[in-house]
Amino acid sequence: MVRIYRRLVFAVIVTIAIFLSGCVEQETHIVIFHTNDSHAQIDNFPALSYLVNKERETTDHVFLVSAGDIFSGNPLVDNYDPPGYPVIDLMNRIGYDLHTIGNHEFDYGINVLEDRMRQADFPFILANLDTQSSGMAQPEPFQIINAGRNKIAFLGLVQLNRQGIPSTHPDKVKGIDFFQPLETVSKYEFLTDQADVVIGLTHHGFVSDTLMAWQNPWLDIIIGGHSHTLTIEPRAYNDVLVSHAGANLMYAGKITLVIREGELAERRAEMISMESVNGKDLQISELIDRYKDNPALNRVIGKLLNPLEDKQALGGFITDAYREYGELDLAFQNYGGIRVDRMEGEVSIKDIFEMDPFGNELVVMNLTYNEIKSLIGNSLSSRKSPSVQISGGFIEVHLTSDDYLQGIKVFDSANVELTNDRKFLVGMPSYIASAFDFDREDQGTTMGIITAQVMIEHISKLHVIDFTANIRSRIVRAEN
Amino acid sequence: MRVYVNDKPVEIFEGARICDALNKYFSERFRVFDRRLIRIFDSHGNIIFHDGSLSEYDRIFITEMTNL
Repeated sequence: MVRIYRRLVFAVIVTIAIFLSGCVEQETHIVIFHTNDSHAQIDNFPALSYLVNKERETTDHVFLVSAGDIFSGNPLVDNYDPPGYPVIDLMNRIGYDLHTIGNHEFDYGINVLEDRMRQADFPFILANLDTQSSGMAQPEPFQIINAGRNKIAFLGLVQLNRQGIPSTHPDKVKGIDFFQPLETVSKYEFLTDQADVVIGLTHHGFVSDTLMAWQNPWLDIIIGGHSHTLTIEPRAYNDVLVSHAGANLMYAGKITLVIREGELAERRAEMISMESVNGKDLQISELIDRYKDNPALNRVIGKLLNPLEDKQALGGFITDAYREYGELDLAFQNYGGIRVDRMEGEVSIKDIFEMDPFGNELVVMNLTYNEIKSLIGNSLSSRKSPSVQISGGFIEVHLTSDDYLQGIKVFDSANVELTNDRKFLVGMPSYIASAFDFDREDQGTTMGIITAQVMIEHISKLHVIDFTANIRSRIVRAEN
Repeated sequence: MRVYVNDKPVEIFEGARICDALNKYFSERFRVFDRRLIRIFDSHGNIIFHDGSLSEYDRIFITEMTNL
């Protein structure tokens, strides 16, 4: 009798255990950390690694994804040999699961991008492009990740500018056809049949993400980037949760999901400041220190045969580089943007970033002669001398005998005054394009490259530089 | 392209970042943009970083800190 009783109790316990385990198995807890627009900033990777590893100790299914633009923004990484290598190495070690290709991923060119994709232990995804004519391998448009018995689909999308390409130099994406992200996304609604949760892992800005949410309620979540938006308290739009984690790896997003019986039952998102993480991965810290010790920045890229003895000479050299890079008629540089007073002998990458530390991009505009004169007129100092240097022309500032501005003339390299019957392609740093108040119809377009990088490429190409400074402007004062 | 800062239109070059638009916004008001004194938000109340990208018709809002 006792034996029968024991067997009965045992059977009841086993039945309850099976029942409970069945319940538990049908509920999956998932944590997704996300970053975007880290722009080669690596200093906060140790804190991020610590944060993610801590979560991995208590949660079975922890993922780490990136919503684009991991490159461009840190000279150490951008000028590493090969470019971008440290970022991918660190992302591999921290255990990123997925990355969407952002517009700046194309900045190093297709070949380097493909090398970095091969280096990565995680896939790069993107849906709105066709690489067939470019020679680049076609990335997967989406990735489905298993979380126990559940599946999460991530769909990659990137922004396009007015020219229909991601914001980078057009030469860097030559041969690739791109499609509007908001049109592409609707083709992937079938992912709802293949996964329990569908996430847009996008790089086209917060506003586009909210539009995408309104048009595509079948998405569960959008993890985005590009606009450097920090969604302090991420919210749902049309029942689609939209989460962005700022930029430069200062924050990470954390999304917690609970899937019950194959349905997304709970979701919440928060932002975690890397400053608030009270620990760091020491191995990652040591690796970053090694990367920082790398002599990449001290690498000599060229040698000046003649010293550049003042800002006029430096400005002449710089504007000539802009003009050649952009195949421009004229180029300008504001003297305030040149942060050294002279340069001579061997030139390293570090020298260039000391000379030009502001991260200005090269902007091109189609300007009339009157508009060019307006630009120069806006730059005149209190002594009526231009505070900009020019390439491709010569500036004359005409003053009255008592130093009032009478007019400005610009002559081309053949010493012929410009005329208003045509427009000129003019290049300048983004600071002039934004902070100088001058008349123009065309507001211009960035060439998608920082001016310091233009200089690095120019000097590296010439290597031995036989540049002689010449006078490019003068003041003509009327006699009494 | 046209963007809006505190509902005021700003014409700026294609591909401009937030800081470029704010440079233009302040220069048109004969002032200098000092990013240390500005907090930038979008129309949803999210914080935006000064180096963020802009698209046509984007609207950003700024609050200024001042000692005055």
